Amino acid sequence: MIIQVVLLAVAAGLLLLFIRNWHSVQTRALKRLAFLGFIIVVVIAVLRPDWVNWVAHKVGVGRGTDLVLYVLAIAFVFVSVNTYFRLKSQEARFTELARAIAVRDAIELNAERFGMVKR
Amino acid sequence: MQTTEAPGAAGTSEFGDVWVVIPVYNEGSVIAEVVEGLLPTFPNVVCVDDGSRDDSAERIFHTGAHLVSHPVNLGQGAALQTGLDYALLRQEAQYFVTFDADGQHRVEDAAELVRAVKDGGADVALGSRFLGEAEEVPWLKRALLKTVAVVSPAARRLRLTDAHNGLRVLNRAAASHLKITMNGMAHASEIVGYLARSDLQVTEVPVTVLYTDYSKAKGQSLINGVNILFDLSLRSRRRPL
Repeated sequence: MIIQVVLLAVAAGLLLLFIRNWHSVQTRALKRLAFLGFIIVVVIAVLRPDWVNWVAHKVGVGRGTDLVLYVLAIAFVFVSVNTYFRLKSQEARFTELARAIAVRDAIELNAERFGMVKR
Repeated sequence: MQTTEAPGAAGTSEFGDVWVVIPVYNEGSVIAEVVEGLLPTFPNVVCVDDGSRDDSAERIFHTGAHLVSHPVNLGQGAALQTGLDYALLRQEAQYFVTFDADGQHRVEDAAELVRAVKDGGADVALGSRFLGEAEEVPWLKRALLKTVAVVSPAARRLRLTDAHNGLRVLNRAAASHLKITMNGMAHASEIVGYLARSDLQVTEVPVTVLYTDYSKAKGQSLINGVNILFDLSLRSRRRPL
């Protein structure tokens, strides 16, 4: 079945690509292009459902709805990974901020406690 | 407030250039005892209160240890890095000890590790439960830790027998280049990975871990190993921040 090969290849490719250079400019551009493409496909699928059926038959899926389901599954994985890394980098920045506050306050507090000269 | 002897006055002691970093999270019942145990040997102790909900911060405040408070809970790895950052600000600090807050490490072991770096020519000394007599380690934990030490490429490269011991000593060069990004428990593997990639001299020193009922109850559960593996597997392929 062509569809299985296509789906697995796309899933693996996306995952590798995005994990490897998540923050690069190209990846960001690619993500936006992919999103644009996704929207266009959605519009077409809505206006011409029979086209989706035709494509589904071509790649070896029984019905157009199944094809849509598969594509959605991939999109979901993609969004999950994207969100995971987004949260991670958010957390890193948040940690830096909290650390800066903690150290700043501690220098003052401990200077008072131990009667040392503030640096 | 002047409670104990000011740490600044202790530059004369053998370990006056050593800073002990203790990440603290909800350890109010034992932390003061742990700090008081350390201070006679190590005059410079910094406790990082990681947003504890108990009275840990207050307990630390009444000891002679420096207190750094995270405004929110960030995790043990983050607390360690904060403590190191704080200690690195001290010009006189040359050696940095990481020490667990729950009382499972022995002060004399920490001193032994510092000597291994100071006099032994190593940049980093790691405590190992398995080098010396290790009959105290519960068997399941022992099996898991042994497995990690064998499976982890970094630990293998450094020929470590114990990849997840909280007792470590780093000299200034090693400490200043360490950037812990794993806020949670995965930082232990992150540190080993950092050491394996660097050309720092790493040595292992046998230590005894005191598995008290308290530290056993507090210790990380084995199932948490799944979380650690997950975090680590996604981390290594990312660009450093």
